[in-house]
Amino acid sequence: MPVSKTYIIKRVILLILVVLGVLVITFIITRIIPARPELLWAGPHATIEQIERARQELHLNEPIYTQLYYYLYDFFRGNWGVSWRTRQPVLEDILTYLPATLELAITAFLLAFLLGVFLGMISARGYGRFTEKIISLIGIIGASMPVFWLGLILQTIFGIWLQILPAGNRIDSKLALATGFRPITNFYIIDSLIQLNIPVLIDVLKRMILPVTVLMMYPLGLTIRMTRSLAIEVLSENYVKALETWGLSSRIISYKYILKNVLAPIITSLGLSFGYTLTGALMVEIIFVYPGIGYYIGMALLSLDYPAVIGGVVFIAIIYSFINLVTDLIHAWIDPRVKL
Amino acid sequence: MTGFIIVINFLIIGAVAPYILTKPEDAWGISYDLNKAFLPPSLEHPFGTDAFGRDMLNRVILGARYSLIIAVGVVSLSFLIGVLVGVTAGFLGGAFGTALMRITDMFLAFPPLLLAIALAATLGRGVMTTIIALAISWWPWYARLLYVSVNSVKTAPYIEAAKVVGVGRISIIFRYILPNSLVPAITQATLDLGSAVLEAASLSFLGVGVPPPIPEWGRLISEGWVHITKAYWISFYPGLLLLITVVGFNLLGDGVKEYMNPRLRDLAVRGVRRSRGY
Amino acid sequence: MRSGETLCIVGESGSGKSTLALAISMSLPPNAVIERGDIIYSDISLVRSDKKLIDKIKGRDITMIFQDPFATFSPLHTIGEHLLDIAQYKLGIDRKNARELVNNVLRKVGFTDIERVLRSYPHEMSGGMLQRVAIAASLLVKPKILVADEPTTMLDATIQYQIINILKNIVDSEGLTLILVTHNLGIASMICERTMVMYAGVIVEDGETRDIIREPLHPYTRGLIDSIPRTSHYKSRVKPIPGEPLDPRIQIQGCPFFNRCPYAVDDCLKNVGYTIYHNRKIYCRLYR
Repeated sequence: MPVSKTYIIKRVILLILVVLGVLVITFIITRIIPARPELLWAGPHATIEQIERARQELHLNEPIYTQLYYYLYDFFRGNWGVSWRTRQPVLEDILTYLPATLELAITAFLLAFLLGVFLGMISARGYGRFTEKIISLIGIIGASMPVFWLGLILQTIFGIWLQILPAGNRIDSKLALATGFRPITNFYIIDSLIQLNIPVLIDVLKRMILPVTVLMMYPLGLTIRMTRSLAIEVLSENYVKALETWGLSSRIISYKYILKNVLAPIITSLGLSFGYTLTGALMVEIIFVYPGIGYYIGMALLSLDYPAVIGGVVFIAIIYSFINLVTDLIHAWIDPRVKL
Repeated sequence: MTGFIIVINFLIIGAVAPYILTKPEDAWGISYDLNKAFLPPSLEHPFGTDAFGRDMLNRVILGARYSLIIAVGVVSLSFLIGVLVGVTAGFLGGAFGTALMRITDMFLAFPPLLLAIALAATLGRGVMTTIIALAISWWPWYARLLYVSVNSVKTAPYIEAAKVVGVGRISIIFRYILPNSLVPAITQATLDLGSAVLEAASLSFLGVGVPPPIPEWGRLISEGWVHITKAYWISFYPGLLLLITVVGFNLLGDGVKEYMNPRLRDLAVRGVRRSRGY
Repeated sequence: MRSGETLCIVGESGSGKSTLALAISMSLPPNAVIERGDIIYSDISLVRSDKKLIDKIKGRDITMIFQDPFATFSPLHTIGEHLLDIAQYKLGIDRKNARELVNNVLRKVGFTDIERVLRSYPHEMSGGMLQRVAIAASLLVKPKILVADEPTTMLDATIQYQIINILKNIVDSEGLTLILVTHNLGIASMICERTMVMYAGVIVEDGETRDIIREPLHPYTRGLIDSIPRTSHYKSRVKPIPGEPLDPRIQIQGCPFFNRCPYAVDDCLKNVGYTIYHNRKIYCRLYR
């Protein structure tokens, strides 16, 4: 169960290699595939001089391996290009928008995971055909849901027609000013708690309700389905029968033995689930005008702001790879059969 | 069962769509009549009309066909590439196979859809580019699936038995290894059709999928976005149909998986017994 | 059964012996339905009683060990966790006393390096070791009846011998009633006073092991004994039982062995019924 240091080091090296791979792939996408990469890079309203400058910056006159070298060099130096929409360096933009997305994604994901495992286990226990059916239904609908559609519908119903919940944005700037709120970490929930600014906290949380609900639908559905089928399998395993015949109460068996055996395989797919959450965040942020990376990429797509799109994609890919590394480590920690 | 019905419906409608359109000009987006714009759902226009007075039902029906085309295209293309890479890696094995898989893993480092977004942004809008973009982000899944599949079949006892009995290598490859390794991938592919529809719609919604005036469902939803407060039906119905279709595929997939897994099947049988009051 | 008796249920694959064992230890899967018959323990019907009553017996008076030792344990928990949980829960005592009990039972089944065993995970141990742990776990329960479903089938021949010996010692020293399911007549003769032969879900013969082996009465049992290869005789042919078992989905009246029995007549298809003959219960019209 204890994870050896060599394993961790191996995985970290793997992570670096994977990131390099991601960069190479994006390099191919951005430089090799397009016929005139500098056009894409400079944006749709660029002047001839700007296009020429882009050509220089991208070293397009030089052989490919030199281009690749500069590409990687730029990346690690933090030079990810400039968004022609915001006129800021892309990396800076991304880091500014990052906390919003993390707040949204982590909240939605945690809720989806906890609720999903809970409901999945219940539906596997067989507490009645009715509960089973309902939970399966939620699972299937959740896993089939077009996130953007649901977002629009809920936003219209609750935000505009019924006016119960705010229709968008992350924070009421007027309220923030009035109550003297200052973003410190940029994680507004943490910031408002630190400053004991309750009105802003409530406002921020209220504005998160709709986006989080929409965002968690897909991972919720996925988790329910996965937990349910895993739990059914585990429940018919022989060791459950053995533990029962040796006298352990079904409660202990459930919580200790069944739960662990169900969770272990799920942990590995948590990374993927989170990946879906991140992609979903893209669309949710656009619809609810929530200023996170998703919103940034979405706006970039609409305005053909190519550097911003690529920068956002690479950044999210890096986060995703990192999360996968973490889940793999957790899995190795839980499951003693994993070869280190 | 329900899934099967839904999917069959989808396939049929998609296939015959151009022939059942009552107002083809509307569906293809060629004509417009601003006098008829924003009509709510009625007998004449069951799904209402959009900003250009085009009948939404027609557009949605044609949209089914595009979703079908794109989904089939994506799954077939990514399956093909995945098979090539995965099977080769599995067969040749060793360092070459591992290297191939490492490259596959690098593609998998992108969360689903994100790579497709980047590609679609580079390649521009269009049905073909959407298919290519999605296929490139999807083939690694099949490659990995097939690599594992081929490996496990390769070392299975019945292959050893065949070799011992004297079956030739080529024969073994084509008559035993290939069919047995492909089966899980093929089942996965059919189930993936639903996800393909969903992802294509997502791309179109973001503006990097199919261009106007093609009535792909994702596009329709984004077209209706601006008008949603006064004409909700423009976005609502395409999305509803999208949901139903994907649910159909998932139900179908679940049914197939339940059928193939004896334990889950027991549970289904239990349900039958209970309803008979034993 | 008598208290302290050792019974072997013998039969080929598909004879229903494992199902019977599961029924006795109340471990049948939830989609199983018992249509007729009963299993009575201490005046309580194990088939018809409600869950509360059953839970009082299961895991306390009756316990079981299974065929596949690796499937008997959760792969993510150590042996120590398994055993300590059982001891602690069963006896409601704290971890320290539970440790002592666990050490005791592990010693009884022949382990010496107890610390290592407790720290190990199931996949780190051999099949034979795991079955011994299973026996130890059963001992913790302090049952009256131990049901063992083919505990040695998945083990090597030499380990089989070891396990059966351990079982024999345990049964003697703790005064357990043992029900052992096996397809191996040799094992039956090693450990059981009484043997029940099953075929296609029907108990065809039931009596003292020694007698049955020496003088098998039911045609099926006779066929079984005759088919054992004799290595002592020079150049003797193996004598299998001709034919094949019936399709288990088909329900028949009468004797299921009729299609392979050299003494079969039309009467065999009607309800045959049990007779007592020479201290043995037999399901055959030959002995009516």
